[in-house]
Amino acid sequence: MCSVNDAEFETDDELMQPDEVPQTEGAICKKCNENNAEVVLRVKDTYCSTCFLAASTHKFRATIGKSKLVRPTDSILIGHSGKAGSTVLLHLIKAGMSEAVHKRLMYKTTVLYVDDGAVLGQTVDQRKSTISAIREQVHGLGFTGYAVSLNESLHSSEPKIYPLDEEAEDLKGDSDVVDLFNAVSSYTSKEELLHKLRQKLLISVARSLGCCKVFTADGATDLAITILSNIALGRGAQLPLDVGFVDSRELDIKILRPMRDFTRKELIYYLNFHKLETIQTPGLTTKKEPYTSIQKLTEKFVTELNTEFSGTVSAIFRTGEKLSIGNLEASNLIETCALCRAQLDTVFTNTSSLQATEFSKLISAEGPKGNIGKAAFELKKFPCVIDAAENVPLRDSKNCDNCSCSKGKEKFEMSAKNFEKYLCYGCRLIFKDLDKQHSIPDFLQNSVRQRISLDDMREEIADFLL
Amino acid sequence: MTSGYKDLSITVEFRGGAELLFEKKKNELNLPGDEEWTLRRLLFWIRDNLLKDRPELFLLGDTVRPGILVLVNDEDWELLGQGEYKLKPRDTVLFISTLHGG
Repeated sequence: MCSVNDAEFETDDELMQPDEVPQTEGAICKKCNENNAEVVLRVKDTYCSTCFLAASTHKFRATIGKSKLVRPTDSILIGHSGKAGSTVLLHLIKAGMSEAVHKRLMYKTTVLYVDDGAVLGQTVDQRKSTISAIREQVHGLGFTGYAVSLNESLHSSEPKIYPLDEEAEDLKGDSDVVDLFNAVSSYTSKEELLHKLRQKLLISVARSLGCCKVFTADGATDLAITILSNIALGRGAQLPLDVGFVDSRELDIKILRPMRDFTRKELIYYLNFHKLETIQTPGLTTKKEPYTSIQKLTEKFVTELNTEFSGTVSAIFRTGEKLSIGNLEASNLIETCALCRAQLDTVFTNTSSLQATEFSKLISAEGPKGNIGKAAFELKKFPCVIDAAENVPLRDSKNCDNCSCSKGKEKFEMSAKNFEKYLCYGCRLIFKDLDKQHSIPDFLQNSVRQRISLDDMREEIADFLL
Repeated sequence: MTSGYKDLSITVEFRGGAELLFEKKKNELNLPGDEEWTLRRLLFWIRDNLLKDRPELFLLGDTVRPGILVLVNDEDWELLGQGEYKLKPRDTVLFISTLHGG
């Protein structure tokens, strides 16, 4: 029996109390018991800079080592933004490559800077100066690399990258991607879209450079925030991919997160002890109200809670780690989302939350005079109704004389419903915020088109399959 | 009262996006020696004298907003008693925002 009496918690004060701050003034390092402490982690653990840096290096190498996914000779693309996480990542890799280190890292590394300045409202000159600052920084850390504009993520063709060493070629206004972002109404969806496009670009550049792994520098605090905001955004089904050590949604290229055990405080102290500078560019929601986007509000929630209860970040983070994707592989054809490439989570099953959402949407759309009884009855057949109604006329418009030659494809027009069918729930929400007048990016149209013709083909040959 | 303290010259620096709220990244300050300067008093002084706008993005109650780290001479302020720390001449106080995009 639980011995806690409910009556004990009648007032707020008796609920969980914030961490008590222990006396850490003038403390010495817990690890070496010699030097004066310079940093406090987890409220009470005091470290001197030497022990802190040694622990950081060890943690980084342990994260990579434990996974057993990275082979010594792998060629790796490192996504670098100039901010704290990726600067520390580059520094740790460089340190691990030096001759003096036991079991030194031998990766073939390439650094990639994704220039998203246009979307963040920077002028061409500002972007140029950011790129040259990145060039200096990457050089200072002993790497060379490439830069690519976010605009390239919108096309199906191979992304145009240019070496950081060369003076940035004439940056265009990147009007395509700016237009697309302007057509998205909410900051929540803008941030989502920016993230998805960046990921896509990292993958496609890795592919064209022949790298088999991508390192991104998401830290524990970022991931804890991502876990909560992604659940709020209906991306729960993809959580293990979005926040785990490895993102294996692409078969040939894996995204790894070797910085996932570092909190933001640790990153900042690492930079400070090594006297490393970061390049700070304001983000989409910098200096805006906390309610601007779900991501920003979640960040506020997590950081504020974490100052009172220091275990918040690790509690969220460790819980997220335990989640895994259910076995949806029962159907032998795994459909993936056209934008984020995660497994589609939009298959209706009985009593799924998606069904409940659609039901509620249906009822709301009916209005007070609508025949709710009838609608509720039809919902049982909801998925099949959509399939039957939406697909048939579309197939007619797509095929020219019943073949799938290019002539027919030009005439093909993407209907919103049809397009949605190839997106996961989270990505559908992004496009719900997109101005209906704005056209859907090239690469999405292409991939949906391919998907449709594949489906057609599959249907045609279905009778011949055993 | 006034004779007990000298004027205090310190350096205050903002980084990690916190500089967006201020005119300058690095500030050499000469604080009048009327009474003892604690970090907490410095925080309020910064709010009244250096902060351009949006104090809620820098302070929360009588301390810094969660997500901003404070370092005095590269040392964590949690080791120094936080707001109670008494500033000494030529101290360097560093405010670093860890929040996304500052």
